[in-house]
Amino acid sequence: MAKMTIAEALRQAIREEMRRDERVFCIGEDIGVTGGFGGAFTVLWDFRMNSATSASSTRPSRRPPSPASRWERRSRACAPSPTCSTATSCST
Amino acid sequence: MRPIADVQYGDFLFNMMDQLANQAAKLRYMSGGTLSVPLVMRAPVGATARGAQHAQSLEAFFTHVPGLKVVCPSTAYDAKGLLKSAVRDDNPVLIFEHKLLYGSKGPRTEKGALSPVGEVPEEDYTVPIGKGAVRREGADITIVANLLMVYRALAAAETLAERGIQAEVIDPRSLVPLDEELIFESVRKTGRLLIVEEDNLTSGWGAEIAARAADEVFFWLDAPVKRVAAPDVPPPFAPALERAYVPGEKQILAVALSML
Repeated sequence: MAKMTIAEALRQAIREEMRRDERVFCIGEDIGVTGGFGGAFTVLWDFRMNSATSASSTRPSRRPPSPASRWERRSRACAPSPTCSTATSCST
Repeated sequence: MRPIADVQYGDFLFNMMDQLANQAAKLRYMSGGTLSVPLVMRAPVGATARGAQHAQSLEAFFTHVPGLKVVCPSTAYDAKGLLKSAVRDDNPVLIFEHKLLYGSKGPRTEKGALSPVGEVPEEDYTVPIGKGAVRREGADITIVANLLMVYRALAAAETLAERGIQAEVIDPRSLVPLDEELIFESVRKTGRLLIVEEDNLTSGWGAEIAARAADEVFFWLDAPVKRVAAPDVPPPFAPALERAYVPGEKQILAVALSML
């Protein structure tokens, strides 16, 4: 047992679920963006999946180092895949 | 794919009502079960001196849409366990999180936050969606409350205990599906039901619980079912008005005492 806040518990749950199932990903404001808000109420503040333990290559840590735009940066951080270029159009 | 989406603030879920209420909620039904939308939508709720468009409690809106599951964790244990259940669920699940309960250390920590810290197991576990929790046992009155109101109800229960009245505090944890049997079982014991929600009164989820209690446990009731909720106005921006708007321990206490 470990003592933690609700934000920490949510962060831990998201991390564990992303490791467990490669289909799980996050989408939200500034997730994986250095200096950003890190999702709603910074629950995903400075959230990075360690690439050594990451279940897939679509994790925030693999985003391009200098994205062209804020929107591109966000969509790549959240839901890139060969068939889906923007996070909002994904329905699969 | 299994997205975990979040939105700051929950109030902006209204911008995605078509996607949530018309698409995500109905695709499984309309496709005869051949499609599913395993979406997790996280949304912060609660009044924290940020004005009417950043302060609403939105749970009730979504309890009205068949096809959506609605959960509202108030402890760290439940937050982790319910999020895991939501990710593994093949249906769209909305998780409402209270801004004053996060306890996050980032730059968006809210004034007046409670920051409840709780024990969370190391091993993998889930909290089933649709199971409530008894936060405090008592035999005199049942108080049903969610999110921040759980803590205000517990504070009121402490004061009631000093007067020799034992309140049972139930946290539904999940509003859809609702663990109504846990609530009914408690009401059969106490004979009194008080529902506390931060949302404004009219058509809140508390009204649904009150109606179901009237259906199922009417003959066990020793007093009318009562609700404590915010008044039917937008959440005020002025801090003094907001304090008056959000139900507090004193209101819960006064209404509970009026029922005994």
